[in-house]
Amino acid sequence: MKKLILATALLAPFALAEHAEIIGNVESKCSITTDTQGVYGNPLASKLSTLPADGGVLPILRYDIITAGSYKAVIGYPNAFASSPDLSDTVTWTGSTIVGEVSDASMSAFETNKVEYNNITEFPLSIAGTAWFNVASEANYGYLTALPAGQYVATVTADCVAI
Amino acid sequence: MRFLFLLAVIVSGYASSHSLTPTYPSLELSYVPGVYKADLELFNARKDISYYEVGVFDAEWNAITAAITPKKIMKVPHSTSKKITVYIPAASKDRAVYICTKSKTLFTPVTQVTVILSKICSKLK
Repeated sequence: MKKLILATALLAPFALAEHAEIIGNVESKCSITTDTQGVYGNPLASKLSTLPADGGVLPILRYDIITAGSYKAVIGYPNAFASSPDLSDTVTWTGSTIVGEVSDASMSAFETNKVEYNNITEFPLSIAGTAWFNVASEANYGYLTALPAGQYVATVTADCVAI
Repeated sequence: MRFLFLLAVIVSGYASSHSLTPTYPSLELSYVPGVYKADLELFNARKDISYYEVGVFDAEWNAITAAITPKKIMKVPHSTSKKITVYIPAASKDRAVYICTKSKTLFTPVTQVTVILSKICSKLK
């Protein structure tokens, strides 16, 4: 009986090892996560702004980069309302996109190397890891004209394009 | 078991995002003569999004309308993945550069908000 227990004990690790495989694949990919959906504050009757100082909430996007140098982030702040009450005057749009938190300090290069045109900012994702981007948006209506009451929705575009 | 599942979800990077693989798909001949195909996989972990649009573009971002996808706009429920096969006629094969998936929003927010539209583009080899 003792011999049987000893033999079982000796053989057990080999038996377990045969079933202990863990297989995983890591593929090059870019993931976009909506960390925070922005909210417009209404500090003046004529103004909507996502800046915290104006009572708004900044939209925050998270990009997960598995392979360095395979993608660029192309982020656009709003330049029109997707939905709003009828507006009879013009809306002036301003905004900006900046690198927020990063998982690797060297990702500060994203901010240095960004390219801006119109409402778009392009960031070369040259370092693997995770980066958060903060998008500020401001809409001013007419010349200090009060915005009509109602629901306002604007879209931030977050693209990840293979290069 | 629950812990293992949770760990797998966290480690896989699929916590709450939109992703498209592979980064560089290749075109292969399909079962239809003169038509090429590329296989991709979309994963949707965005709770606020259930629909995605698939598009094929050239280097100047002009849409290649001859490309055929199973559905131009397709439903991808939260926390599921969808295999996508894009068919491109041989005549457009050399023009096609990007295959993109773009989130489509349907919900109506109740306050003054910004909606985030995500788009991920893979580049054909």
